[in-house]
Amino acid sequence: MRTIFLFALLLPSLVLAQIPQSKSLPKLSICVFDPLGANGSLFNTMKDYRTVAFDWGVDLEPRAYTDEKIAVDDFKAGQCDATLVTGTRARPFNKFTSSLAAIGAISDEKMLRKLLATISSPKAAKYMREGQYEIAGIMPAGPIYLFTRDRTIDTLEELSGKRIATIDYDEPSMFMVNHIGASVVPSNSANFSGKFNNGSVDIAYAPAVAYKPLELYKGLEDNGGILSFVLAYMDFQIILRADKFPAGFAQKSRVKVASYFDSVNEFVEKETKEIDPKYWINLSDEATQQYGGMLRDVRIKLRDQGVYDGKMLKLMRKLRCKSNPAAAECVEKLE
Amino acid sequence: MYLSIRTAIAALILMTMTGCSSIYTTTGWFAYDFAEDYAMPYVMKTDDTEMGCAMSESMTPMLMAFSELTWSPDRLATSMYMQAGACAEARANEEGLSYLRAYKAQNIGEAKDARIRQKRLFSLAANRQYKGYKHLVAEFGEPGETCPDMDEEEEFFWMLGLISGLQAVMSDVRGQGEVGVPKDIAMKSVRGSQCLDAQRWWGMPKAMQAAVWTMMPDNAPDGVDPWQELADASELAGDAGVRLAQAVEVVIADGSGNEERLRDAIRRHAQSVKTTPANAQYRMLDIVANQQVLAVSDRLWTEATGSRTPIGGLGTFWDDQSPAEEALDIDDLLGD
Repeated sequence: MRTIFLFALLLPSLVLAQIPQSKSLPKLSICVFDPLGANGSLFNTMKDYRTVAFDWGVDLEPRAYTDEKIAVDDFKAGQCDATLVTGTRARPFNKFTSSLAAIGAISDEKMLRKLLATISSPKAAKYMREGQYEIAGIMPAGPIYLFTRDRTIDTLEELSGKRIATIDYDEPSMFMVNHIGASVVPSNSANFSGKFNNGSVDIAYAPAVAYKPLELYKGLEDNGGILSFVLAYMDFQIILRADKFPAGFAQKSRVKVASYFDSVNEFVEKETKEIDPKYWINLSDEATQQYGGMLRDVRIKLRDQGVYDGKMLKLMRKLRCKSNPAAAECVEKLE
Repeated sequence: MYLSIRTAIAALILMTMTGCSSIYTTTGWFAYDFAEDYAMPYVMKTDDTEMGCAMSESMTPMLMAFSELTWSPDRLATSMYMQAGACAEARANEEGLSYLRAYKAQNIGEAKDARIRQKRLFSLAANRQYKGYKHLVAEFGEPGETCPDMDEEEEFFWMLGLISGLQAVMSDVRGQGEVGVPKDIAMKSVRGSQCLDAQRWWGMPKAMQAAVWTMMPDNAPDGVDPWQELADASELAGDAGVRLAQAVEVVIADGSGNEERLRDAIRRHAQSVKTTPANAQYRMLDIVANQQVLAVSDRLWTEATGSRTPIGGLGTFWDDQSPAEEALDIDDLLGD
């Protein structure tokens, strides 16, 4: 009887002992670059990502930055444990993944999808870490096109001498503009559209998703056009300070972020359809080949200068050759 | 004989129907006139946003149904849809708080679900706000290029429609782009707002322009500090007792990720509410602005403490230091 009584007294504490204690997860932060700050879609995506990261053992608080450079600087200074920035800004942290945006290297969305799935797989993990930094996901942001105020400019020769709004911290862009003999007008993501729309530059390059919000049709007016040739694919990358995160976190994250591809692509396609069809300039096969050849030369030179990663260029060449084995580059194997 | 009876019956039915239709048409005209001339100005003077929501959400379909018989009441529709959009947005903000509380409680399933609920409500808000903007376009033409010739009453609807356009883009982004609101209407709305006098319209045109400059600083004229412009617009709003521009400043400061700047904007708003009463004619707009600021404050409080802004606590923060009071020597006080 006394035993039963004691048991009854102890019962509440036994029950309490069986209530799972709330997990005490490491509190980490991610500096998120979004042109609209906390009101933007990238920051919102990171709010969702936070709930997924929780299951992988991290409480990852997103912090909004409208200036990408400051986001990167704060990350470098240890103000945050991870960052989400454009692939261009990811270059100092991982040459392999930042070479994904190499000019003219990705032929279409199908290839990009295959590429992202390949480099997000566990076998590719060894390429994702450079020193203390690890890439924990790559989000595509759509194709980049050349916007010209004069639609008669559609060959390489005609680009020579033209003023091009050029992202000045992006080495490949600066190299390419100089390579074609055009004139660099230093710009950034916040001011290139103003320069294009008011005629301070003749040409700008931008992702299709920028067309509507930045009203690029104002610069195109009646005589302008968009070259129907994908210069590169823009992307955003999540970079971690690897020692702050539990083992296996980055790999799980890469697989998860790669799974966002279809929904992001759907959004990009919807936005691309917003472009007035009259602006598209279809290139002849000859001109397409000329552009393709020139961009390949630029890629090889930039690889030799140490800007692009040779392994990534090779991987992309192999994927291009899978869909078009008859191309000359598949025999030449220069990348 | 049989044929003539049938014709007579048909004629009677037709007459009856036409009669009903003309009654409905007249009722429609009456409803529009009444709603625009009396109901809307009356609601603007009231202070109960819940009632305002109930009215706009329930009466909009009913009023718009008359457009089947008469014309489309675009000015009225602009304000009704804008208000209904703000109601959905307020509910979306509530779900945002649910997300934070669930996350803090480590109830991740609920946190994920709250985010989905929040996005759905933002899509609903975007849908309504975009409709409000489209009615503005139907009434005045596309904003952004030229300014329509407007009297003061028309300017009021013009401003509401532009705010609706701007909000539609923001809500759609927050709802993951489900509605597909064209994103260029944000810039068109901002340019359209420059048709209005900043002083007359409580600093709103100034605030909308400055908001864009904070995101694209190179577009601002030389020597103009966009954040100072926003603060100046807020001051105009405070003086007028219609603090929509203060809500714009708070939302933009919130987006910037600069918490000190955000706290300062919230504090100035709270102070303004204490010192300057709402404009009696546009009380509802002032209260809606206050609720938007409160929503941001609630999110900050919930992130930090797990619960929203305490009653009377707008403009204060959980980690505010109360001014230290130097203790006196009790023995001195009690001694002879």
